[in-house]
Amino acid sequence: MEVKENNLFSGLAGKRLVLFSGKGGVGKTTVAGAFARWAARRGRQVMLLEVRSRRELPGLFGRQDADDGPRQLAEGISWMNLTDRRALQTYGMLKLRFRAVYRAVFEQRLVRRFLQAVPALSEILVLGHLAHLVEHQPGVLHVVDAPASGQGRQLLAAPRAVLDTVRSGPLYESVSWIQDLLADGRRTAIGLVVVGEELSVNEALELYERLHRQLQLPVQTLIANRLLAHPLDAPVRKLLERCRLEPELAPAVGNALRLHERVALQQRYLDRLRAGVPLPLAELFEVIEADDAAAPLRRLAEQMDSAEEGR
Amino acid sequence: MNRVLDNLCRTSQVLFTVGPGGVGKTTLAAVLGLQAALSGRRTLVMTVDPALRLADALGLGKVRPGRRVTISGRRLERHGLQLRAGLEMVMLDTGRSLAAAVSRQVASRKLQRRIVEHPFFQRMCEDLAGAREYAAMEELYHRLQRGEHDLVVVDTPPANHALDFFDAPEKVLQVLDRRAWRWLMRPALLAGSVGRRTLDFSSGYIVRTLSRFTGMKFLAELASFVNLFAGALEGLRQRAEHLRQIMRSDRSAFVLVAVPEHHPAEQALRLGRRLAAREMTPRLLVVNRCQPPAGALPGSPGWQEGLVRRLVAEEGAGEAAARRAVVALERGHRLQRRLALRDRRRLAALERQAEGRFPLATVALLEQDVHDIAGLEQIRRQLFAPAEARSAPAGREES
Repeated sequence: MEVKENNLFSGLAGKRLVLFSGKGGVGKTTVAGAFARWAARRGRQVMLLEVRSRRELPGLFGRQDADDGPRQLAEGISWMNLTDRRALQTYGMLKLRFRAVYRAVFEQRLVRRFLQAVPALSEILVLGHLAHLVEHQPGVLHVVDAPASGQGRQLLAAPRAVLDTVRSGPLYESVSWIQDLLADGRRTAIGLVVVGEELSVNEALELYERLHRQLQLPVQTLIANRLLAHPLDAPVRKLLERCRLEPELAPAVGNALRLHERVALQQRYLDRLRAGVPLPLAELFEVIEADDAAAPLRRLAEQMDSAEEGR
Repeated sequence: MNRVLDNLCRTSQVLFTVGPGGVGKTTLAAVLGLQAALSGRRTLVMTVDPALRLADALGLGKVRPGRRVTISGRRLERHGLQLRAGLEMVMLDTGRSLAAAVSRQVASRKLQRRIVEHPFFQRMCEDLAGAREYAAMEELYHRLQRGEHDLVVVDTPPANHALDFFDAPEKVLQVLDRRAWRWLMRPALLAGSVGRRTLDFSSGYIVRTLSRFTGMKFLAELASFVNLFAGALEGLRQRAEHLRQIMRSDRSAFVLVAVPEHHPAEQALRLGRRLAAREMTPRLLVVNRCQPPAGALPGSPGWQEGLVRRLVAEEGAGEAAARRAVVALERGHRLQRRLALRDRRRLAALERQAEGRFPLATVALLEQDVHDIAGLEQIRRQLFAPAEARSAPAGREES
């Protein structure tokens, strides 16, 4: 696979659909929001999408709204929460063409049960809605905060699973259309977000294996989030080790060495990731102080600038 | 020592760890299991996490789903721990658990095989919303019935799906309810199995419309499965009801897990409120990975110059390196202070928001990630060791 080493985030910003995936708790949502902000600053029209009702992004932009959108979060950035129900209304209605049918059929409790029973159908509906948005808004960059690893894998694997079992018919056709978009590296990119922890890196390696090798989806970038910077060179470390037992110095030396341990650990895990996944890796650092609700997102977007320039 | 948690480990029959993804639910489940087994209760730790983290947390490496693994007493003795009852772990295998549930409900072997080998069954195991959670419930029920364990610790899926987990029995059974399906599916059933059509306008219309989505073959396949499965349903429904009663009784307890970060904390609180609304109020909120307070810098004025001189004279350091060492101490102190302060602010906010509904317990961030018995034991000591024996610093400074 050909990967441009330069222009990490601008590479992503040139797509029409960018999905961020990774283990729960690594900050996917913040990274997706920061990237949207970064791309909007560069003149892209961005639509930020969450999948199924966490509705966290408005809060990260300092907004208090509690519905599913769509709404404007900042200049050039709109937001929406993709839900099964809404996907059914939009995408389902497109397939069925008219509203009366929708009412008569899909608003029935029984039929909603059916939708839960059909494997992967709710995933397909959500993705279908997404693909529909991408197709009908050609000038817009769609940034998706995908669900955490396990569920995210299920979401992205759903089209393949359906294509493997249903071999013809209307479902086959619409799912092929979705799969074509997802697998097209010119229009779509997947970014894997990790933190420098063992479980996160293990899951990223597994996810890469599954998405890239098995499903042939365009995983193009790794983003290491929440890193700490605390460089201690070898001579300094040795000196500090030697005064570790002195009562007056012990607490401070303890701090410095403990932090060093954690930073070294982060780097070791990231090295394992680099060894297993031949993709460019962007490094984003932990935002410790937040003056306001929107600060982490703003500061991460600034870091994206320097990550871009540093390359 | 945390009395609430200690008490739960001694008296509960089922302990659920619940919370958002990536906060250490699995690790805590393993710690609680360890504590219970040390106090003499036969314990099973069960995870439904698709990411298979329990083996990691217990330092067992790769373990095959569905296999029960006994933690050997000798492994623990190396860490100075004396198991007083068996400690086992199991990673859920959805397909196996559901197949076992079917075979417990359906007498005929032939029918069992037809269900389990039905293509829809295979896909249901992987894809049906709540199937994994439902399988976990079945497995849990089965384990409780067998009575081989005094305590089962259940590690639940991340927050968004944790409620699915508790609602799973209801949801899955609704999906497979034949009475409803009969009505909905009739034309498809008849077309598929008998080869003639009846004129049922309303459902025929629905089926026709649905089939524009999926194709008729798919519907017929689904209907034939629901029909096969129907015999097992009543038994499963009764078990689900029984299990729901157990979950709401004193025999079960829920432990919320979070980390001191804004979003996980908020998710955990939301989950706590929603569990409470289902009469499953969490008993405790464990906040994992709190930054320990920063150790103080030397108090004497001019210590920096003193240290540089000493490092040069006594340790043979170059002056530049000695100065860098001083800078490193100051910088490390500042960074640790910022991190610890942030966590204290967040903990205080969490405590306010919890509004006394459940008490908080904190676990300090360890130097290394937890992926072995030694790591589990460090956390166990933070939560359960008598106050004077606590070796790791607490996430909060005592007030």
